[in-house]
Amino acid sequence: MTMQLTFVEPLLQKLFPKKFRPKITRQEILSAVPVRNTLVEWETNDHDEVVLKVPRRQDRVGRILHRVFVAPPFKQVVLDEVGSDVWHLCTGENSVDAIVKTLAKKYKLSRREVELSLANYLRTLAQRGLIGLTRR
Amino acid sequence: MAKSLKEKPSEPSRVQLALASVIGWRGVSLRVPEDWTLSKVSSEGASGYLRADSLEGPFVQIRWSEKKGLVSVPDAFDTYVRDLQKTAKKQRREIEFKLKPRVLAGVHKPADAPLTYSWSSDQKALGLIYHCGECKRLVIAEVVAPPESDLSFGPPVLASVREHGEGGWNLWGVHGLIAQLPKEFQLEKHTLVTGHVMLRFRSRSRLLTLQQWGLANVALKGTNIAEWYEYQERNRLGRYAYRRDRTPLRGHEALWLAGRDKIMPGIAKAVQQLGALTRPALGFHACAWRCDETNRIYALSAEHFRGDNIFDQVLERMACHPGSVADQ
Repeated sequence: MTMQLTFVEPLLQKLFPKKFRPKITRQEILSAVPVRNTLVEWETNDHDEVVLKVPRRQDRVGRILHRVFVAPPFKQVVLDEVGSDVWHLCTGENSVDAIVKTLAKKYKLSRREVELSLANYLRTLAQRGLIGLTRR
Repeated sequence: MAKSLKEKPSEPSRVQLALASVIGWRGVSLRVPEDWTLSKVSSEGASGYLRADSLEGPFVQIRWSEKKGLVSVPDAFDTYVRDLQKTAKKQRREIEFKLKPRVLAGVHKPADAPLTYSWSSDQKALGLIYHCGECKRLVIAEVVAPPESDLSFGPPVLASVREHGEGGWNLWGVHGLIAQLPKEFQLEKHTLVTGHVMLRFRSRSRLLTLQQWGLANVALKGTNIAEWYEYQERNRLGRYAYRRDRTPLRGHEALWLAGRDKIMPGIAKAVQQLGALTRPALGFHACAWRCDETNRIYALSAEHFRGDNIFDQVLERMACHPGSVADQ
């Protein structure tokens, strides 16, 4: 039964990507290296918060919407203090594990607390295309 | 009442606490390595389950149930073994049991007739089953780890398992929120999310709420504990008339609130509680403080009878950082 499932798994993942997500181990996640999207411009404001300038969609629909609603070419996203720290650490040199250690030390949090929150946060950033995860 | 506590140094706690490694839930408590955390709790009436996980995979789990009358520990063990074998058979796994492994010799007091065992399958485990004559709880505690792991942490963890509190005080330890409460206080509501732990206990009309928030340096940026706590709890505090005090607690920036229910909510509550044949608890005390050592905010609030010192007693037994209560 287990063997059959393992065999069918890649097919199921392709057919139902949301239901059958590929299993990633904790070690794989910790060794991954988050890298900022180079297309996203960013700066730091007076409160030391990172302000991201996310370019709006550039396809045909995006361009039409842009003209109709006279929207600015960038969408601004302001990260909070902890989020800004994470952003500063996503240099492409620090692994997730290194970021966990840095945040746990700075904010005196337990490793598990940081791991859970950071995993969710990185997932959100990745889903919005602000960062990517690479392997070392 | 709260004033008197602030003037004198807190008395030593009667039960030893080891911060950051204490896990306690409904009277069952244990000590685990520092990076382990409570990951699962459940309880239905007299039975319950608790699990604490390490980051690398090993975990400890404790099941308990209240069994009155004559209890046979070997029979309970046989039932447990049968359950495990059934599960293993369903999953097409082999499982091997061994009784009385040498590493668990003397791990629990003989008065409770403990039976020690180990099993190995796709994982391996060291376990302990016993029946406490005092609280009548039948306890199955085991540490489980992947086959390649070292189980040397098992015996000390199992030796630290307690199935009931001492001197009528139950030890509670959840994600760094560690306190002792009288055992008549039953958990009514809890919130266990990253960054916020809340435990609310009730003993008839008396109410105790223990809270802990993480990232104090971020939460209190540009504000202070008094403003922050009153804003955070504005919905709940709206029903009380109280006075404020900013005397530090254990050297920490703190806010003390002392008062009682406002007239209208107080009358409604008194009528309701008298209708339930309980003495109305119209007194209110709260204390919130910022602990720099752990970068957390702690708060305790109590609804109590007039002249009741439960708030002071629990506050004395609520730890925030190592050494904050006479522990270890």
